[in-house]
Amino acid sequence: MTNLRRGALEYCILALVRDGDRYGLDIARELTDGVLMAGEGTLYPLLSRLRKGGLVESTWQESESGPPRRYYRLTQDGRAALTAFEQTWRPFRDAVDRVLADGRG
Amino acid sequence: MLTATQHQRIDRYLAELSGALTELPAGDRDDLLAGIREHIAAALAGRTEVTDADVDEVLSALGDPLAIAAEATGGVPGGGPGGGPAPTRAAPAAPAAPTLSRDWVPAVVVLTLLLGPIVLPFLVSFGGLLLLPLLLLAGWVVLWVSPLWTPGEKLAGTFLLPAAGTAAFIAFFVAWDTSGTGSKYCEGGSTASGGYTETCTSGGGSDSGGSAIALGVLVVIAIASLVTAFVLYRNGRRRTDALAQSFSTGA
Repeated sequence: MTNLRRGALEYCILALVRDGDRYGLDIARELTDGVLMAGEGTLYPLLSRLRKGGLVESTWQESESGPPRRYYRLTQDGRAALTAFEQTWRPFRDAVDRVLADGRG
Repeated sequence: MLTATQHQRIDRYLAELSGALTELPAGDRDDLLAGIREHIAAALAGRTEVTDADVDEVLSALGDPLAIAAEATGGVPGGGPGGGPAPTRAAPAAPAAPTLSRDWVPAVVVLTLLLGPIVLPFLVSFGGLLLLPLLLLAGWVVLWVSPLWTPGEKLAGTFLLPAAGTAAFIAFFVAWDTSGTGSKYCEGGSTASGGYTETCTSGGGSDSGGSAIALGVLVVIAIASLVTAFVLYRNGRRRTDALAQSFSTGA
């Protein structure tokens, strides 16, 4: 389950930064529902992995309250990866649901 | 504006995280710590007055530092979009097996390794000397298996913790031998004819310089050992406290 969750979580992060720059806390608050991510801190190792993989890029921006914040946005590669995931995910989810339902008889 | 206690609480969290990230290259570690630091600052920004409860809430929402570290060090390039987990990835040890992270572990490990070599040799008639290797072995295993200490601390604990007892033991017997026999050193051996000879050399005052140096070395070892014991106990307790906190808040 850990691997499945982490894999899906990385695409969720990509989806969250698709429409514009967002900073860590902002992304974390969207994901901490107890299902996808246990603690907000887990986000940061994932963000650095995505950044190293060239799927997101970051810039520092001043904030009105407190120190500058690092904002993340999708790269060209990230957009392509997300599109590919979206195309696979729905049939994948439906197939799994079908098998689980069949298994229950 | 944060109070000293609040700063201390945050620094302790970050130190804990940093300590669990020793496997990571320094650049990656600093990067991750900067991200977490920014998260805390951003979460507390915009409040007119920050209470201790606010700080606790932000830190517990971040979750167990060991879980963050497991995510940072466990991910091997492979499946996910960012080169996520490899299928053979070992299950992270952090959230499970808290037995060796309980609050009694630091005291038991430190006392066993520190006092075992002092106490047990005096219980020779009860088999104390035979128990000593077993006790040391048990202490070393718990020290190395428990996630409470860094590899450096474990290495120091392995060699330095039993050193005080060993030094005290040696010093005791040297002193006892010196006072008892007037620093007479005897060497026995069988001769070819089957008889038994004993050669004794009287030390006199000639080797007092040597024994002073030896005593100095023993004292230094004993001090190093006691400092190690203090540091390992303190760090271990700090980590068990932090773990207890993260478990009780369900993070």
